[in-house]
Amino acid sequence: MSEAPSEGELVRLALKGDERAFGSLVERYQRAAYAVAYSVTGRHEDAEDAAQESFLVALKRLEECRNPDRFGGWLMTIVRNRSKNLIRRESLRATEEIPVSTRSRGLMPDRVTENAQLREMLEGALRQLPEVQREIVLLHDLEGWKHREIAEMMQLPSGTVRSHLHFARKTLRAALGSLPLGSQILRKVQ
Amino acid sequence: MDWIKRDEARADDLGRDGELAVQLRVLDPSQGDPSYWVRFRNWVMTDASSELARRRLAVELTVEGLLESWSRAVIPVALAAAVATIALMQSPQADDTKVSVAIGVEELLVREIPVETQPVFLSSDVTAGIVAFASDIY
Repeated sequence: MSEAPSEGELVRLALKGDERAFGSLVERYQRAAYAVAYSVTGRHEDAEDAAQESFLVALKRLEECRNPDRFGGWLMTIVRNRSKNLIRRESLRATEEIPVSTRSRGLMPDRVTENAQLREMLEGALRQLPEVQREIVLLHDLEGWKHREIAEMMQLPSGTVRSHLHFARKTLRAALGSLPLGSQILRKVQ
Repeated sequence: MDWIKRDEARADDLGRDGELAVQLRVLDPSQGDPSYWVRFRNWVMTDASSELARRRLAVELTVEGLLESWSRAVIPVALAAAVATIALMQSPQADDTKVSVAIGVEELLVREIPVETQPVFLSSDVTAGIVAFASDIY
């Protein structure tokens, strides 16, 4: 069995137009890119657009990635910038919010309502966090990234990441617990 | 040694907050749509296909690539030519090969005529005889 190619190798192959290598990079980082974009935009549709656009921008500017072994960190910088640009554009357009019911498909109606309520609660709680804490808590507790990996990707000391995570969790628990329906819905969902 | 590494990793990590992880999962788009990430990847790959194709083409058309493909044809030919030249230079030349020289009429008039091409009656021995003959007559 051959060993999986390193990130640097995948980047070098993608530079030559290797579809499979670029596909592997997309698979490796699509969830993290979405989480980072979501932590900036706070909306599924915007996070999706920003994450997708970021992969294309990254591919077009792949020569600018000075350290191919740290592609992830470089990509996340693009994701953050694209997300901020998107918010700026969106605020100019001031589009209407997409109805909550259209976001989650394939679930039972009561489940959809519960999830929609929890989603709204979480979105509200996440909005109370600084952007950096939102990003860390989503990458760690939703995507399962390790402190070391997050620190490397965000170019922050590992201790700072831990401290941000600690405060983010504290704020989230307080925000979710203070909501009237919060604990009830959370118990049901769990 | 693995257990040491695992312990170090655990000490380094705060660990995942299970309760919060379950709650946050609501934000994962694949929760209500299991094929979401496969489609996400496909969207990106479809949009990236033209750029990937451009990159493949650029690799084929680089100067280095052109030189490489060129050298593939030129080097064997140059080598063969060099070998042939060396072989020709080293082969023993025939000493008895006669080189015929074509001489034009004007050149013949201007140039000194080699002794051996002069008619026999003009050779020095013969002229001596002629002079002697003339002196006998006059």
